Amino acid sequence: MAVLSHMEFFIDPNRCIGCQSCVQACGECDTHKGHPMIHLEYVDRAHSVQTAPVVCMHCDQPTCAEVCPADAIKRTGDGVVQTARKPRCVACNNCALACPFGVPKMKTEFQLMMKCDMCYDRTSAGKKPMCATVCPSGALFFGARAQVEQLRPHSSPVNQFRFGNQVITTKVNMMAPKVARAEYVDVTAAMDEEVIGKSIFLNILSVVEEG
Amino acid sequence: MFEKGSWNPIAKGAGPFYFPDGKARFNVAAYTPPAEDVDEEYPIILTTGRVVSQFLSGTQTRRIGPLVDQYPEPRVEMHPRLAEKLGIEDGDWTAVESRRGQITLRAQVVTTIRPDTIFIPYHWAGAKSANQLTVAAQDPISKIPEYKLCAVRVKKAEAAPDWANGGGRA
Repeated sequence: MAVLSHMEFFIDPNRCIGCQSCVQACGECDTHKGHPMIHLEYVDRAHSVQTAPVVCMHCDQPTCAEVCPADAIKRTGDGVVQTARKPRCVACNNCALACPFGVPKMKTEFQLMMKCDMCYDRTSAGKKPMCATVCPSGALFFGARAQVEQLRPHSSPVNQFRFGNQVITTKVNMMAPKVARAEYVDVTAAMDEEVIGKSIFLNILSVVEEG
Repeated sequence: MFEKGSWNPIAKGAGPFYFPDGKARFNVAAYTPPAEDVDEEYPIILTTGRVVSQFLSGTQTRRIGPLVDQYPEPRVEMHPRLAEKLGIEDGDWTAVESRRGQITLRAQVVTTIRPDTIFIPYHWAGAKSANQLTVAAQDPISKIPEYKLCAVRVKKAEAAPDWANGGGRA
């Protein structure tokens, strides 16, 4: 069984209301009971109440797997980067340090890295990831591309991220406002961005320069 | 309000609202000042409210570990301008005092609040209870308590409260 190719994950952090439903639902799953794999982060609590859900982006070339000395992180044919294989993982923490999105979590009590695997037990059986089924505001959406285009006429999905010179293409999409005409998200630019008042600017959304 | 396209028998089809002309009415309410306004002695507005992970007095939500971890204890939210004026930094023990009582909590410095107002969530009891500070005033008709507004003064606490050291009522 594999994740159906027309079913995709779309994250729209703009819509996140910080209710933690995704975190609680994720933590209730029997495959990793009590340990939520999704992160819910405040972007900058001192200046804004904006939160953002962080799931594994499922990179085409996963940095976590590239740095793993034990080859414990596998990417299946359907593009899902699986959590560490328990017999192989040596809990070296390389993946947690290397992942540009900060997704893998080192569980020292189990000597194991655990991360979001897009609910592979569910999605490979035609169901939605748990977080996407409970999200009340549609910040986490799992479905067909045509469906999301209809639901979010003012946003378009982006799946390219830049961290300095590293360019990452992911299976999971991030919704960007159409007015930004974004082709990729420049994450390192966001780190230098000054927050003014309560607004978070969109300088991190960039268009590839022509020529 | 009648649904669009449906027949409104009161207005005989003139509009969707429950009046003869089918139009809505605004009810004008005169502004009533709060029971206790700020003054020189107590110059800061205290408002109380809730945080996302807790529900009312927490008898249900404080039994659930992950919800407690999200927001383990009440904090005083204040604007950086007010915090600077009072010499308080994020995480400092802060004493809040009203005419009725006082409470010592850690400060949370955020720009998402007005500089003349502080906020304390109400989900805790005993020494952590925001209602040690609030007024007993009620709305004369609905009897809703005026927990959303009272006057307080704020200063940096000299010491951590008893409950923070494992003592006192928690």
